[in-house]
Amino acid sequence: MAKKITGKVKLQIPAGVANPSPPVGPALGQHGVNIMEFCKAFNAKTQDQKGMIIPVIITVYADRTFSFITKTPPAPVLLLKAAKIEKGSGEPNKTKVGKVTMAQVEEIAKLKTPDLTAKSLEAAMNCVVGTARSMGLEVIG
Amino acid sequence: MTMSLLKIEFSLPPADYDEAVVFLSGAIQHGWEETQAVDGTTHFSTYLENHEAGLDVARRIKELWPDSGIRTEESMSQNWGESWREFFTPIECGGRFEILPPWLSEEGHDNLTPIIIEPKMAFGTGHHPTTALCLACLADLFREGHLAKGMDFLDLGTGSGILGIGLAKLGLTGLGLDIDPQASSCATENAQINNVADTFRVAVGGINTVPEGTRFQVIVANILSKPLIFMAPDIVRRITPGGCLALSGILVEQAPDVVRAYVRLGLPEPELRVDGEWCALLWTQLPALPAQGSQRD
Repeated sequence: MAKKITGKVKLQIPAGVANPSPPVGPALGQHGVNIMEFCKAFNAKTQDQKGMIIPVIITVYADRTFSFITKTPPAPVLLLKAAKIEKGSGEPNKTKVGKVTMAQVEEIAKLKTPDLTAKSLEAAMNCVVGTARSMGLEVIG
Repeated sequence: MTMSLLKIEFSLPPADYDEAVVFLSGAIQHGWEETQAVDGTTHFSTYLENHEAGLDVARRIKELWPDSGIRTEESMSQNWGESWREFFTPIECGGRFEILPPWLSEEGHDNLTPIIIEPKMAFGTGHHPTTALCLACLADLFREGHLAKGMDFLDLGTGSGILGIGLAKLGLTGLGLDIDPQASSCATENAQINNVADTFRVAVGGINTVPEGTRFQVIVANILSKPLIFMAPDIVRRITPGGCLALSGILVEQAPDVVRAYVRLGLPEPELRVDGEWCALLWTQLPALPAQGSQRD
């Protein structure tokens, strides 16, 4: 018998260090979810990604049990980290604010593969290149 | 302690989503909540302790997205963990222990050993499978004679102190260590509540806080796979020959890596106990090991 879903919560929180403070506490507390249990499980799953903000979708069931899935960090966030800059360009066609290499693009595409609809690595890389250009990043190499 | 928080909320269409995430990643490093409407609009909400910084973030959001409908409001922090307190029911472990919150301490079963745990910030309320699984394992080891009154133990990553308290209630004497001072404080309090503070001592620190040459007949560590792998040499060389080791906090898929790290140091294959996606590894009657156990790789 399928469990009845009573709610879905999406958070973007730092990997490996979730705790009951906001935004986790207020978001999950209202659903009666065992916040500590979520934090421990989330931290266990994301301990290798410390330093990144991870999107996580928590599904809450009628018996107040829950499950969650983590996603990969958004491509723009990964691109900014790769380019070592804090924000993209307001005028991406005219003003370039940084550079990323094709090797970095490939690395990001591989990381993002589980969340992308692209059918091949090349297609995924094209997606990432498009995002990079829309942020005013030059793709080199 | 209740404190005033600044809650910030705003909504953006799909076209602005990526840019908003980039902005928030830089401005709100503890994270935010997102709710998506049917039309693809994303509603963002977050809280900041520092009102001045929060208002500055709100001002920048308004500049970047004037139509985001941004609003701020003061919100008092709550004991966010409290909301699940009403669902905190007694838990029986291994037919030996019963974990109870203090407000249900009088409602335990006479045939079970009560462990009173005040749910606070430290992990180990018993409502997580790793804790319950580990306690059940300890109960079995005691029943099978691998643990006995008077033996000494180390509870590494003690959290709330729940495992150490369980062992102390079985008549063992030991030390609980946690690198988190808050957990250490919580474990000390729980040891007192459970009247085992004389036999279960708690301190802040990790495995290397234990002086070289000190060994324990029993080591339990309910942490996570990575630190368990990293600390393997330090843990192994602190076990008395003939002793027991119980490791928990391991996802089933991570178990082979943990086992490999310990077998490589000369330990035999462990007994695997599974509860859902979590597992515990048990070693009993461990052989004397060569001295290279201190080497990490």
